Amino acid sequence: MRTTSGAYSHPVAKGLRAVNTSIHRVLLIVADAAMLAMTVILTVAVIQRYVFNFNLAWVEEIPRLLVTLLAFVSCAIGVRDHMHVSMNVIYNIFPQVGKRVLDWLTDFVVGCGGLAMLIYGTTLTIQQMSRPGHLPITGIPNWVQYVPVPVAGFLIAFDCALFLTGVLKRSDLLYSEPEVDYAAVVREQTKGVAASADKGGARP
Amino acid sequence: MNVNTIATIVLLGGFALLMLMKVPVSFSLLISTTAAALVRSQNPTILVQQMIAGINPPSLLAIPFFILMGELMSEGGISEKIVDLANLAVGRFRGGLAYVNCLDSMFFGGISGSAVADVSSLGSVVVPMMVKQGYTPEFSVALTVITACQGVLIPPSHNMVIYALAAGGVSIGSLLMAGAVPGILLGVCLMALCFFMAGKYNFPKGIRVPRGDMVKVIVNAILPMFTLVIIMGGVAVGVFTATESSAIACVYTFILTYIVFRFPTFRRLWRESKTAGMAVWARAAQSFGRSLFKVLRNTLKTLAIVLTLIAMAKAFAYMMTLLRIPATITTALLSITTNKIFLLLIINALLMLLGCFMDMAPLIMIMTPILLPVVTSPAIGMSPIQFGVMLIFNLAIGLCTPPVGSALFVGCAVGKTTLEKTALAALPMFAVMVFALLLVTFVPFLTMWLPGIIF
Repeated sequence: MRTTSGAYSHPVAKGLRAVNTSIHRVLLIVADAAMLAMTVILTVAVIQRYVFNFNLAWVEEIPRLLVTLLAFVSCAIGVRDHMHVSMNVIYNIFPQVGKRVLDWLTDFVVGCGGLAMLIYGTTLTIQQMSRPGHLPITGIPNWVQYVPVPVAGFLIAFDCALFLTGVLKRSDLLYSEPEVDYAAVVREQTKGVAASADKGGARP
Repeated sequence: MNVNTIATIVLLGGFALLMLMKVPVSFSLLISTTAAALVRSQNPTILVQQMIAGINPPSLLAIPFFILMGELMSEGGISEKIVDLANLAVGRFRGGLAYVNCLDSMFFGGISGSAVADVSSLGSVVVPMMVKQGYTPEFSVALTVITACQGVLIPPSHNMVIYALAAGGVSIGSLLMAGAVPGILLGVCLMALCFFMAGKYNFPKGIRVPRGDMVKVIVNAILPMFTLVIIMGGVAVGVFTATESSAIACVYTFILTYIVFRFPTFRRLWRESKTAGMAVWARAAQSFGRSLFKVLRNTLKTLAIVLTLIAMAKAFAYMMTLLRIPATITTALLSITTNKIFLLLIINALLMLLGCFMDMAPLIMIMTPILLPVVTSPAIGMSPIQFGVMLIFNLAIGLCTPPVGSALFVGCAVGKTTLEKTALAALPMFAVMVFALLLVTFVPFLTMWLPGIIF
């Protein structure tokens, strides 16, 4: 059975959607916190340097770790709401059925990308864990900076699996309102102008 | 066929095919790179290392801050304030609003750094004003869209930081400064066109700002524009790095948006709280939380696109270098001709064409490692800084051309005009843009002068 949005209403599907939503809520909090922490850390570092004449050494490393986290978390966020930039020139000329096939293929390929990130990211992280390297200032183990890759990979693969199985629909947006398709708006406007011109009501 | 040739076909062919299938550009890069690595029997974990290396340079931190700053500015509703300032400066002349349109983009672009943000926020203010004064909607929209391209050139532009990362070893401060003169040059060229058209088509005179309002208009607009002083001044004087200055500018913008510009609201709330109690402040705090959350969410949406692209493109560029693709393309281009002028014209035409079909950030990440060795080769001898400005200028033109010109579509939607008529009205402006681009390409002084005197 499906809901009005076209997604399955089976209890397992509902449960998976709930899990997905909860994970993404946590992701959003993590990403917002990373963004705010980066801003505060760098501002405080500048104030410390010029007002208190004191340099915080770890200011170099922590924001870099945070931006790595932010990059891969936001990558997963982008997949969840299909925000990543893609080329629509060919897609737009396809009929509805063709578009659906391409949408499915897109989710499949992105899911494969997520799996690649999960597999090779995990392999690299495990390799790094067996090595003694540390970041020079904070002493944080080297492998920590690679952890966001497999985590994001898992989330991307999970999201895509839900899209491919119909548990989630493309219209189930978490982070954004439905995107305005400006190209479609302009096409409609063009049609409107042509129609009014036919009736003799066009602007001179 | 040897393994490297097959890997090259898999890398480039796979990337093109996936992109045409509407797979996101970043994942097209990832999948084609992984496939090429597997064809070469190479361990793909090296690609993960490259992805991390791509987003690890300290200078990359400036990108999230520039984007956050733009979002905070939009939340602060500065479009009207900037338009008022531009109106005060040039509004009283014949064709005043056309000049205002050029000048406000110069001011606003210097703050937001995004052409699409410029079109959507300034367009919704200026286009109705222009139409009301008797300009055709198509001309108004076309001018708004074209002038918005100044935003990606005038500092601070996060696209310049993306280029610096793709090029490697290019000073971000110098790049940001290098875009200033070409951005202003484009604005001046467009104003010259408006001057010519104002005489020919008898454009209406603009609105004169009453003397009593002048100080208020200047103060309101100067405060947001001070972010430019923080960023460029801080970097130029050497007080901050580009990253630190962008973080400081974010804090400044936050104070401006949520405290300074809300003084009237605070006064009203203070009066209301005397009768309604603390509930008024609780509601205000809730509204602040919602607004900040919206700003962060919008920033994240842009970051999701930009940072992912940077990470994946780094792995792609690494694979291209392993397969010697940039070197092959350099040799191929130089075998056509070694004439500097002809080569630069070919590169400009190629970039403009690609810009018509693809977005700016992916093209910067993909084309920089391919074309930078060509332009810096002894046959051309161009500085990487000048090439960065030229590249971004070319891709900015793509923002206003069909079929994927995002700024053009947003402009047409905002101004309720058709694509064909707007593109037609924009033709003389495109000519002006190409003229300015050729100046930037062939006169290094325009890009190198400002960084030269500052750094």
